[in-house]
Amino acid sequence: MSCLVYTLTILCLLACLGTVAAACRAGVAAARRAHLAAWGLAVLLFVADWVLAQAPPFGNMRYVLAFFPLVMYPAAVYLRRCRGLSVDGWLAAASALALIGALSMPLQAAWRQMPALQSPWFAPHVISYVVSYGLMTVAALMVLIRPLRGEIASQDERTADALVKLAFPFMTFGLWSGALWADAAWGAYWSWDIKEVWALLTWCIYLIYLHTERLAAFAAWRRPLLIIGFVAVLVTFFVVNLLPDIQSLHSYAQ
Amino acid sequence: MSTALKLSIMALGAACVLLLAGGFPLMGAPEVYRGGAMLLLGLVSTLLCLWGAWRLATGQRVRLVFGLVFLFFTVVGLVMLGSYVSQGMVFARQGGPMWMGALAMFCTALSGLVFFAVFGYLTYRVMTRRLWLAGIHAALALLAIGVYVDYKYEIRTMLVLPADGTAADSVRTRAGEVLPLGFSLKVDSFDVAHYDNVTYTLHTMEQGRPVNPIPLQEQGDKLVAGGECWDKKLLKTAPGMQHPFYLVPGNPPRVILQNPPAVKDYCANCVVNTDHRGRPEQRRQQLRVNDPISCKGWLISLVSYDRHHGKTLVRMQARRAPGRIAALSGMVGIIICSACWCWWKKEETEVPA
Repeated sequence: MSCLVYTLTILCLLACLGTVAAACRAGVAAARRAHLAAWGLAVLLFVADWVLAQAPPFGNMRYVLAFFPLVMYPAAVYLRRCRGLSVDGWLAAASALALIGALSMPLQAAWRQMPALQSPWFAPHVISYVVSYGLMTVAALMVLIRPLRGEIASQDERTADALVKLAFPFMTFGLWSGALWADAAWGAYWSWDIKEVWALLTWCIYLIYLHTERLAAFAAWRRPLLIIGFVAVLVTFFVVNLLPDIQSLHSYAQ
Repeated sequence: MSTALKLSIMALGAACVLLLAGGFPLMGAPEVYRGGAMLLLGLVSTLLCLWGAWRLATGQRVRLVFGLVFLFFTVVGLVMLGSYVSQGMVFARQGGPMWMGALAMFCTALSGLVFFAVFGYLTYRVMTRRLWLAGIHAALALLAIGVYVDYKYEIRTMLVLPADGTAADSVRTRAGEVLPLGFSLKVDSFDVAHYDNVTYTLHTMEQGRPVNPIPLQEQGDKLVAGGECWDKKLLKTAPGMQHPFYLVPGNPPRVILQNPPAVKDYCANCVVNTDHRGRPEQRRQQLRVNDPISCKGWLISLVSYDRHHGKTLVRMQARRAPGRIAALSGMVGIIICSACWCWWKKEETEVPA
């Protein structure tokens, strides 16, 4: 099973890279087809992870990173249908980054779900964060490489804004559903745990971003805010979990 | 409006700085979370939220109130639907005559579905994108008020009971004050379920302590790691050691430890003696990690357990939080209103602020 999981991860990564290449060279239609193929492989990878973990596969960072491509394709379809934006290449690039991260982490065979994690909140909480962090990553990548793209920069900014508006409710759900879950599991909806604090900080940064929308005086802040928000996402997702000597109620996510 | 927006940005920026000061991974000062600056910032943010909700709903305030009331009933319908369906599933799994109970639960769940559909439609008709934004601000203010009430008046303390039927009808706070619960609680029995895996690890001994665990592969009665092989029968128990072990001869000193299977689930079978409208009432309830017991304003959560000399001590948390309902309602409101504000597609006429 481990061999199958690795094979599927590599195939999915190749399909994501193919999507990026198609978006750059062959055009939108080819990118969509390649992204759909990557999504199909991501579904198979998710099933294989589930069988391997013998539980919903969100128990550690590798599982969560491997889940990224599964939600990126529906996001691309939503943005195409409802917002008229074609971002398959961008979203596939984010998926590829996540899959490279997943491949660099050890494959934990059977994951024993501890009692606190056996809750109906578990899957929606993790999935919403995966969706939001993935989309925020893409938004940040768009504005990060803006100086290299010249005339299409303003379109990128509009796309980044649409991505934030799509991702923000997922981030909000992730944050506050975590509090609702903690109220039942830990007997307190807020414990000032370091992961909670960083999640709230990240949420506040994106709140500032949304507040600057109507203020022309703050227009120049929007791009740096997206980058700062992305840094906060990285700290929340990686640094808080991976730094040694940090006491956290979320230590099972390491 | 732009002044209020600028003030909001400043307040959010200040909140970010305080959170960063407390949550910096290595040298943070978590004391700031309960400091005066945070309280002042909370007050300013709450006032700004209320002002934002008021201004955003200009000319549509009655609609906003109706919309939020309809939204409340929509959520109630959804909760009814979810809870009765899950209870019905529990009965259905038990099978036999419990199927009738399951059927009754599913029928009751339909009323939740009707609530959800009717009030969801009314909410859709009444609310606009601008009102959803006002709703977010109102929900944030509600959350802040709930959090402040809890900060001032919450009582939270540990309650440790042996699983032998000993009853408790009061709790002792950290300050030493004894508070009556208003009911009595006892734990009749305590069940623990384990996963079926016993694992073995090879450790190096440093200063008498096992460190650097290496997982061992099981091959029949043998334990294998890196070309070395040991018989499982070599592992023995000893006084003071909870689990079997084997000291591997050689230098550096190493030890093989048998690790207990991981805990899958644990639950306390509790009896709550209370009263209902003056009449004594006895409730038997299972207390689980994600399933606390609520009685007379107290919330009893299962935290952990200890085993000493064959006796099980159940560690629980007793909590009375008067602002909890407001805080949780605010959270639900923020989740729903932010999703509707960001994803709302309905055509509408914007009312100028």
